[in-house]
Amino acid sequence: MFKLTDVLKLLPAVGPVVAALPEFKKIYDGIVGTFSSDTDQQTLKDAYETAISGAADAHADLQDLVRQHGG
Amino acid sequence: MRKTIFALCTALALSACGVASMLTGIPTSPSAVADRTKVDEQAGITVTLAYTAASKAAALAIRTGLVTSAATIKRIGELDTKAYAAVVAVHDAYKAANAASYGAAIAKANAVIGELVALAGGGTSSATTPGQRVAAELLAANARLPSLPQPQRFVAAQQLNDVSALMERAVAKGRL
Repeated sequence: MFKLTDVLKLLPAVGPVVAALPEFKKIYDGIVGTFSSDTDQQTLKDAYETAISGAADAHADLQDLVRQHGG
Repeated sequence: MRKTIFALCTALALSACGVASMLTGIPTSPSAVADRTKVDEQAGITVTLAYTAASKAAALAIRTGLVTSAATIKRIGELDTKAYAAVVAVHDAYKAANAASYGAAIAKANAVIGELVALAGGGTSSATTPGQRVAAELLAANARLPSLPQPQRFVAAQQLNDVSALMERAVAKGRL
């Protein structure tokens, strides 16, 4: 369970502070791996496809929300 | 932990320097070619993540009542459609391996994403509830993304998506 005050403290400093959280260390580890491995090309391609899929979901959600507000 | 993160950041920075130095010349080895391609993919992924984070933050701003004007919400919807189309165009250029259109598409996508963030964040000074404050902070963090160099921007965009997803769940459960 997160505390709102903690989140608000973290957001203005997105970067090192957020990166200190264990869950974000995993992200850093994964990204460092993309710079150091010769087999990372497919990983990046997969990550791009995942990112595109996430963008489509976010787009659909926001458009649905706009329609609900009469837009 | 702090030392570990510092080491990771240092590794990222050093890798970035090596990759950036290759941008000015023709790659001289297969590994250099691979590194240049990684830069291409990073740029595409970063702009895609930046769009998703902006779209999620805009949705949060509407859901929490930070943005209430029907006209503004409609315009947010229009800019979101434009930004999403631009991000898809970046992906299409990437798949077609068209370097010229890829760079132009990324620049266009970044510009429209910036418009979307600026519009959704226009009323952030009126944030009063916890949810509105979180939405305002997220939009402010999105606005700072373009000023970050790679690969920090890449990481920050991912982090913004993760924090946005966390906030979405909190709003859905009525905790914000």
